[in-house]
Amino acid sequence: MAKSLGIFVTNPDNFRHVMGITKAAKAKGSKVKVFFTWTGTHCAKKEAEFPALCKLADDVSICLDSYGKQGYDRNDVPAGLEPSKMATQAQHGAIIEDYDCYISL
Amino acid sequence: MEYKKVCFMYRNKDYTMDGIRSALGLAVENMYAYGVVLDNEIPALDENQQESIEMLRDMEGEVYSTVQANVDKSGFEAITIEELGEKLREMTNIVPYGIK
Repeated sequence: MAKSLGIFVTNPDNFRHVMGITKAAKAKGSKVKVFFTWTGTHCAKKEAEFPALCKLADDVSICLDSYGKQGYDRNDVPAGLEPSKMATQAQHGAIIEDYDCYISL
Repeated sequence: MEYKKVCFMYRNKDYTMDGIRSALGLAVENMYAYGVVLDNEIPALDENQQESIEMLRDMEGEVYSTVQANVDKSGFEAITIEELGEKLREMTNIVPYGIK
């Protein structure tokens, strides 16, 4: 059975690693969920490949509160993301609770 | 049911308060959540921040610091690096929060 991987992203400079790890994990048949929080939410607006990540991973969500605190309009949903994926820290909890492997970047 | 135990480690001042909020988020999700402020002295907590930490404590979490000034100013629990090393062995997950 394929494993599952949760990626928790707080550092906006690590997006290339998020993409690389997600590609590698998907190529091995793993389920991948990515959650961006605090300054990591800049990736949703500043990384050209963010919509591609949303398509590639099984689940991508961002912390709505952090997104607002980083200066973005809470109603301005980043390209590639469903409005329901602008969520809370419960998404981080879901990664820890439900996924086999966990990485913090 | 076995509950997860998660320890956040805050070494970057700019991420500390948000990291404590993140720990509180996990406590609300029925996990034992802890935070450790490492190496840096951070400004004294305001009323809202103190309230967040009280909520975390109500859910059996805690915020520790290796820096005595944070213990004195903000009421964090003091912890040494050696004690932290022991504590981390109890954890199911360790989260380095906001490494830059």
